[in-house]
Amino acid sequence: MIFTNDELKPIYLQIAEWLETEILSGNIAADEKIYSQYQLAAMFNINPATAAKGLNILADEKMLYKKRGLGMFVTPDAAEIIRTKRRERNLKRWVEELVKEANRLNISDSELNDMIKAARNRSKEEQR
Amino acid sequence: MNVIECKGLTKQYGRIDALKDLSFSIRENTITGLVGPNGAGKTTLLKIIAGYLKETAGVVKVFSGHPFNNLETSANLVFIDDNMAMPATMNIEEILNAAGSFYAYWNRELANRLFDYFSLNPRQLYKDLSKGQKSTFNMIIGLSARCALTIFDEPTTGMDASVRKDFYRALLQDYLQHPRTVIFSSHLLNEIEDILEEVLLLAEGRKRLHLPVSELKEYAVGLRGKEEKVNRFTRSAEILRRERFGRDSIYVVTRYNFNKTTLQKAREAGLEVLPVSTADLCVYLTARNKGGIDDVFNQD
Amino acid sequence: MMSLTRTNLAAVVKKQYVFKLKSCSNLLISLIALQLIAILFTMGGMVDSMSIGSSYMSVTIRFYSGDGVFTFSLIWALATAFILTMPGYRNIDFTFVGNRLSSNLANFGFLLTASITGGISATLGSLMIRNIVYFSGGSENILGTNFFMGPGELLTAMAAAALYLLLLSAVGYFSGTLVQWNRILVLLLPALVVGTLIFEAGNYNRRIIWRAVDFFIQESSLALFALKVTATVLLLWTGAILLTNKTEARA
Repeated sequence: MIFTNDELKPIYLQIAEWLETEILSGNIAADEKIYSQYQLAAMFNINPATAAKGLNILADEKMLYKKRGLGMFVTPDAAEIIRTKRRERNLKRWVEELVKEANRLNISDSELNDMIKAARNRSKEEQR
Repeated sequence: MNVIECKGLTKQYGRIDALKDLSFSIRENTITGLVGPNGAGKTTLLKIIAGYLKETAGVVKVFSGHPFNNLETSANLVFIDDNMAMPATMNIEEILNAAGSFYAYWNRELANRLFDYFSLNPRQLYKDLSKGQKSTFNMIIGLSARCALTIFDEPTTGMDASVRKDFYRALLQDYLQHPRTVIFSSHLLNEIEDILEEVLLLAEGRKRLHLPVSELKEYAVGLRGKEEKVNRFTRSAEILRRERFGRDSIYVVTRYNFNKTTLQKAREAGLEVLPVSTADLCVYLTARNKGGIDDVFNQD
Repeated sequence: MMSLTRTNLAAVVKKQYVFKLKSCSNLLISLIALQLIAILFTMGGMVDSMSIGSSYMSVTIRFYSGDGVFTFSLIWALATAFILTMPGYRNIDFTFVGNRLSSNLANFGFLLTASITGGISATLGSLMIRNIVYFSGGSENILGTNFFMGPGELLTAMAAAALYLLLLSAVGYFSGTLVQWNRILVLLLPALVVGTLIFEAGNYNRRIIWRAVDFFIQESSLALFALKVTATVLLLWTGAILLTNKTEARA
């Protein structure tokens, strides 16, 4: 189980996010079949209904499409949808929080920019 | 389709109500967790469903039939608890084979594999097994019977943590391959909640909640901080629990009916916003007392 | 979806009966053990003997009887049937598939099997006593009524013994069921029997219990005896079924 249970986030949302990350990172390509609710249930040791709920979030947001009798597949623009969604919803909010905290600590714009640059460089190095 | 339907189900022992006006239904092929404090009526309910006990009033239907003394019901369900009556003369391998003769969908291979995995000794007598081994053996019967309705009433008595974990995993795996309706009563909700689809919470013989687990997780939220601030945010909310600590701080659990911005404001006001585990939530929902055990010691 | 299994009473009773033969094998073994002990007691002199003697000669007469084996078996039938109705055994019928009726019918099947086995072995046991007496005491010294049995007589004896065992087991089963139905009867039932016996000891014309016993033991025709026993047993079984049908299991 890779998810922390004490997070406020329900498991089905965590499943949805995990699947998004899989699509985003290219582990599951466009028009490829995604995990079934039963595979997800066995992988994460959760009830298949919970897994289905996670899959349905992606289907509702047009990242997955259904093929009758065959299961769910990744839509061609899934990665783009996820990128937009995460930028709009998550990244923006985090940046806002970041700015708020910086304001509280009296951090100047350039100081904040330097910190962000440094962090990006570190993460590039790690990936190398 | 519903496998179990109860309407106004009541069970009295003498003048005491063990179950009172209980109405709910359980859909086919779901895993339902039955939880509640001691004496909530869990075992009574399960034994009525299994056809052992007779309801005093109300309607109970299992596979659309009345379960009491019903052979069809009995043939399609297996009831596992920590008080199974087993013959003293047969060793556990013989009992396992005998059990297999009763069930139409008995899976002998699964039974043997589980038997080996948990390294039970086939020559041993049931009465000589340890508590945990008895529970393990019972559980193997419950899974291998592959009954359309599988009832586990506190099945993990005496099992150590790793066996319990294996059991939950085995139950889920076999359920994925052979979906069936499972009711699992347990005091260890935090251990089993991931494999559950729904939770039925009883208290004092009444239904307190019957919800999908995912909704239960978002049912309540905890706020911790200075009393006046907490009160400001929870003024109109339903309070499930109130604990004070320190001089002027409190921890309040309320129904989660705020929107996200309210929670954000609470955080900005210096309050801690905490998730409430389903296990804790069930305790709060069934407690007679909003302050818990501390109320016993703080009497003012 | 897992499809439901259809089942019928006969199939379940058969499964429960087979399971019961295995799970209650200790009870059957105890019957045989009891009969062997009875034979040992009989041979060991737990019998009446009398000696007439003078200074010139002495005569010792020993009475051997197969009654010991038979009596022990009867007590066994009564007690075992009673035990089967107690929760320790009854609950096993509800561990797997079954209902009250199937549990009762499987028990009847078991008691019938035990009665037939017990009837045969008790008769053979008394035959064994005769053999031992014959070969150890010398055939010329035996004064016996019906000492030598023909095959027909042997079969009649076996049938009669089995019927007696069945009757006693039905009485034990019914009283056990009564007691489980209402626990106060644990005290009331023996009190009633003993009370009636004491009361009737002085009233020769109102001896209900003795008349009931005579109803069976005075019957000289095996066919009529079989009819009487069968009718009584069926009555007691029906009573037991009716009493248990509404009672709760594993409570």
